[in-house]
Amino acid sequence: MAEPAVELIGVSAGYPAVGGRRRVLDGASLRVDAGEMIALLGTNGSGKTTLLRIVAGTLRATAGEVRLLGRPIHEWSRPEIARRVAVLPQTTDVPAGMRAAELVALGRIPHGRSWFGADAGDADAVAAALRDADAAELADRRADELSGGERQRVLLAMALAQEPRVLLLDEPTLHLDLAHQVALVRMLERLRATRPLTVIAVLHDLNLAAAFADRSLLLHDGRVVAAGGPGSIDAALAQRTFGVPLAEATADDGSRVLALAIGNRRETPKKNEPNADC
Amino acid sequence: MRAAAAAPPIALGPSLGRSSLVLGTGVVLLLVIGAVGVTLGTSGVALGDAVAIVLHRLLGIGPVSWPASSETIVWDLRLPRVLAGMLVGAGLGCAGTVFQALLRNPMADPYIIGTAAGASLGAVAALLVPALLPFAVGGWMGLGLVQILAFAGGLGTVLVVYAVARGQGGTPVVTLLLAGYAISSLLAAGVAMLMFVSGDRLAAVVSWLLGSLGGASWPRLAFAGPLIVVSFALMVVRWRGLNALLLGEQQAAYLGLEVEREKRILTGLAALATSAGVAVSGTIGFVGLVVPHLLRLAFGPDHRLLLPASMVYGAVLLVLADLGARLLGGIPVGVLTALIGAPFFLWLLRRSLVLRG
Repeated sequence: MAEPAVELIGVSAGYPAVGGRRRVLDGASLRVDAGEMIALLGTNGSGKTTLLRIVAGTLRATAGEVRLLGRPIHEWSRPEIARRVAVLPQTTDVPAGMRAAELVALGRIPHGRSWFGADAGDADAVAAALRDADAAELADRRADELSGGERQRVLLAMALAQEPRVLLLDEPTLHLDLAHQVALVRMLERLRATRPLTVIAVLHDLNLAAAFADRSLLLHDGRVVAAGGPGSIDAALAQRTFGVPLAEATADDGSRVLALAIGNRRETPKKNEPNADC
Repeated sequence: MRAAAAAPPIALGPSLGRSSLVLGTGVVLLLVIGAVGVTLGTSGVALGDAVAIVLHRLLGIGPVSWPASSETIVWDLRLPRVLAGMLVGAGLGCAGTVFQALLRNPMADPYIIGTAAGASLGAVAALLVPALLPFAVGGWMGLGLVQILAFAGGLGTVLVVYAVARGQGGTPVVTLLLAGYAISSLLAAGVAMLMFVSGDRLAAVVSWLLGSLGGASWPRLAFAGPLIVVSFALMVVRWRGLNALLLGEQQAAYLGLEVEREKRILTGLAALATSAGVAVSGTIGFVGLVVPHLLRLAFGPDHRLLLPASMVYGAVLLVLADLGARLLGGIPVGVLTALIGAPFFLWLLRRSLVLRG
């Protein structure tokens, strides 16, 4: 059996709020083995980002146990965690006037040893990260002038420059068109082949999750429920969680896909008739 | 495909050559302006004499071939004044850089969370009520009560602002800015009240508030110098944290930074450098706002270069402004920093807009 990379046992967590704490995770448990690729699903506000913060150690659990690479997470210092866990958040400030390679080099901060500047190991790590994230040709471009897709690749390269064992991605496909979404998922598959990476990615697209993940996990009411293995998502469970009708269908290549079954409610407006919406 | 071995190395930050050029140019400029500052004035002293006087006092070499009055002017008046300009300008430059990085606010300057208001209240109180405090007569280590209370007021106010803004989950930047604004307003009301009742001391109060390097003396330099130099050194070794904060606090934490601890330390150091400078010179505006902005536009946001450069060029700007202020018949140096800095800053802003298209 593979070593666990991330373990959560009965974890509760939340944020300070008026009149106490707002609890977001409520007894969540999960185990992710080293080298696994996990898709994390759930409605807005179900605690997906909170769960990533718990694994990255930037938010403390109020109850339960969090273990990273076999050790309780509170035994790691912040830089120790950052050398093992990298996060690609939903949004990141990109400082003005920095070139992409300099931005990626910020990923070396947790490894920083030399007093000033970067050593040869840093340069190699940055070059490899840029290459693996398909961003090598962007190295000399200004980071604040990149397109959304380019910027996403550069930020992913920054995360890879941390040389993490665990990579957490918070809705990496947000703002990407369909082709770029698929390209990103393919890149993650390639990364896992060349680097000893465990990947946990928050996704909203059930089919993308089913296609790329070893397992899909569903967050519901602050807890984790398994939702399916490779290539499939439990349609009934997903339907209950998201509260929308889903239909199963078989694609041309024989794989099962889920589709939103709300039909086309709007009738085609007849010619010469005023549109009712106007 | 592997990256070819022949590929040019990727620059991961400001290159050594470029950094040396930027900083070296600044240091040469500073020395030249400093030498001019020691030489020029209402009573001229030849550059050769000025250099000989400084060497004689420092190393005890060379025959004495100048009038005693020249020695007093150079050694007791102009040199401390030039050095104070360098120190205060350097302190304001790097404190401004750190506050802009911490608060991620373009309006941030060294005074933004209360140093200026606190120092002003301390200094004005000291100017008006020395008779009430027995130890004020002799001062302490060559420092007057004005300097001591200005320093304590500046540093103390930041500590209070930080304590007020600190919450359960850390110290949000917006709360810090608002608390700083509110407490500064409160202290400014105190200053205004004291000015209202100051009577014939009003001129001294206004003169301090406008800022001047005229009060520079060796004991005051001996007080502020080490504080500014040490806090600068401790800020510059934290360049990794400052660079990580460029990405926002959440991402900085993901990069291994203890964000709240780092914010406390950096705020403390920047407030220390600012308060030490303000104690010597009064509140000189604009240097700490404009220098970091100019350098960031010119050389990028990496703090390995930005921090030392803002120190050197902050010093250049203030010594130059003070020289101008002296030659223009002693107008307040703070007026001149704004007069030189603001149009230049506006020109650069316009230019960066044009370049961005």
